[in-house]
Amino acid sequence: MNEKLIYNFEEGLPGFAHCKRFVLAEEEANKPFGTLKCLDSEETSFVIVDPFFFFKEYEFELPEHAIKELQLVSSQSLIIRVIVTWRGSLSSATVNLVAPVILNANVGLGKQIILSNTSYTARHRLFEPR
Amino acid sequence: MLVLSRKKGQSVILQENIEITVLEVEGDVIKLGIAAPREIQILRKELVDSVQESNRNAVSNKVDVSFLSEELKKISKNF
Repeated sequence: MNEKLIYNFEEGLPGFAHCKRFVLAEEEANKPFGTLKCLDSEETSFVIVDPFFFFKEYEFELPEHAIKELQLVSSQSLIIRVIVTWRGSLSSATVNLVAPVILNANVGLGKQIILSNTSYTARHRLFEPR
Repeated sequence: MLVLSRKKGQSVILQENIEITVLEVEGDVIKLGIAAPREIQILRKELVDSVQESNRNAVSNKVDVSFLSEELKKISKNF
């Protein structure tokens, strides 16, 4: 798999409709973290993470419209990431589990989908405060 | 914005194949029934707003992910 493929997001990201082209960069040394950098607007980058690293039970049904739009035919080319929000320290960071970023590595298409009828929210803490 | 008055049990049709019916009216709560093809996405607006807000909070101009992976190693040791 090409680790620096350009992904086209036809509708941009929610709140960032003008960002249509993104580069996913995931370096082995920094896993499970990576970045999703917008090519249409400098200074627009997101930290992304493999949700299953922190939330083993994370699951959802991929909506039909997303499967169609991303031309997904097999799970082999499917990449699922979630966006991390953090300020200063990782211990208080949150991830958006209700809106995962879905990528088709075969064709370079991506979309941040919004899940309906789940108990997930846009702010799940990576680490529960002790 | 188009404004329509509907009574309980009445519907509106969008694009021939989406039907929105007023099922129940109780105080300031209206229950809507929506019949639409599976590929039509139906979302509560608050949810869409929360995702937009979350994205705006998450965006940054300079990201150093190696800092995060180092932090993770430190935190993992304490767990």
